[in-house]
Amino acid sequence: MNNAQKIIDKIKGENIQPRPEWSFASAEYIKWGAFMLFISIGSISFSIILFAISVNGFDMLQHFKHSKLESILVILPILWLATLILFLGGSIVSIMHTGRAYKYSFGKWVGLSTGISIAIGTLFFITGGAKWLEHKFETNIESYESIQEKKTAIWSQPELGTLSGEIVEVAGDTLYIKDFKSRFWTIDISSAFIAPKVVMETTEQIKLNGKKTGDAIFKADQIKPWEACQ
Amino acid sequence: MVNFKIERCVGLSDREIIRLSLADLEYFACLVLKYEVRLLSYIKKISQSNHDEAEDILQEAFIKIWKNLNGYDPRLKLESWIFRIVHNETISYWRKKTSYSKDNIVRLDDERLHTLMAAEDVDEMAGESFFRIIEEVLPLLKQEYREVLVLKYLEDKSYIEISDILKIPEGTVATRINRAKKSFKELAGGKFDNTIFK
Repeated sequence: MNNAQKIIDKIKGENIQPRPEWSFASAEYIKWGAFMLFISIGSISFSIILFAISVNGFDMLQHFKHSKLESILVILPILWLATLILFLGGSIVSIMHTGRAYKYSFGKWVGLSTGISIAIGTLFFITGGAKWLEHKFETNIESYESIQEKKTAIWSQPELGTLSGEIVEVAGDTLYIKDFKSRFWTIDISSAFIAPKVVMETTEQIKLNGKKTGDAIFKADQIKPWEACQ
Repeated sequence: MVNFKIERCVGLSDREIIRLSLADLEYFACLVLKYEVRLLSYIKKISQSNHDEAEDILQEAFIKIWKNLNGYDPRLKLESWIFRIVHNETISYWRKKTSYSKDNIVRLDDERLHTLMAAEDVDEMAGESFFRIIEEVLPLLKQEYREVLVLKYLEDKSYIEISDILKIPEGTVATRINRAKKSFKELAGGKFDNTIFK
C-alpha cells in the first residue's frame, strides 16, 4: 500500500474533516482584534502617564533626597505604568501570532507597537482625553488614587523639601500659607526664585521647593504655581 | 482510492489540487504523490529518522495538511507551506521521542550535497572525504543550523522560502546560514585533519 493510499484511508477511516475556512479567518481576526484592543489600552495608559508627568513635573526630581529611580517611580503612576507594560506586551504577543508576522523581527514589532502606543497616547493626551478619563476614574472608583491626590501627597513632604498650599498673606520676605491639610506655615522667601507665572496674592495656590527649618517654618528656594504645567 | 486514476493528477496546479481535494478527497492523493519523495528525504536529513519513522512522520504531517487545507495562505508557495508543516511535525516527533543523538549519522545520498561544496565558506574538499564529513558533521550541528543548511543547500530553497518554512524573518535566515556555515566548518575542521580544507 503506498503512502497516498494509507493517508487517504486514514482520513476516511477516522472521518477527519478539514477545519472550516471561517475558523481560520476568525482566529486571524481575533488576533488582530486583540492587538488593537491591547494597543488602545496601552495608548490610554501612556496618555495618563504623560498627564501625570505634566501634573507632577520632572523638575522636582532634583529636589528629592532619594535616588532618581525611586523618585521617578514616585512621580509616575505605577498602576498605569504596569498597565502600559502589560498591554504593550499583550499587543506584541498577539500581533506576532498573526499569519505573516514572522516576516518581521521581534524587535520591529516591539518598535511598531511601542510607536503606535506613543503616537495614539500622545494624541489622546493633547486632546484632553487623558485628563477627562483620569477624572472619571477618580470620581467613579473609590480606591483609585488620582494623580491630583498623588500630586498633593508628593508636594506635601516638608521633610523632603516640598510644600504646597494656598497663600494666606504676603508680608515682604515672608509668606504665610495654608497647606492642603489646613496647617499654617511661615515661609521665608528672601532668597527664593519666584516663577513669573506665580501671582503672589491671597487664595493663590502654589507649590514650593526648599527646606523645613523649624516647626511650621519653611525656607523656600523655588515657588511655582500649583497648576503651572497643565 | 481504488478507482482513483493517478492520471487525473497530471497537469493540475497546486491550487487546483487543493480545490479539487476539498470537493473530492481522492484528489488529495495528487498532493501526496507530488511531494512525498522530497518530503521523506527532507525528514531524514533533518531528523536522522529511518525510513519507517520518516513515513510515519510524513503520514501525520499530511493528515495535518488535510485538516488545515482551508487555512492555506495563497500568498506563500504551497510547497513552502507543506514543508513548514512537515518540518514542524518532524521536530515535534523527535522532541517527543528523544533528544537528538550525536552518535547517529545522517545518511545523505542527495547529489545536491555538492552544492554545499560551492558554498563560499566551505572550501573544496576531496570528494569521498567531503561526503564523510557531511554525514558526520551535519548531526553535530545545532538543530537550527542543520535545518537552514539542509533547506538552503540540499533543498535549494531561497531565503524567502526558508523564511516561510521556518517562520523566521529573511534577515534571520541569512544570519543563521552564515553562522551554520561557520559552525559546520569549525566542527569539520576540529574533527578532521585540517589539511582537508585548503
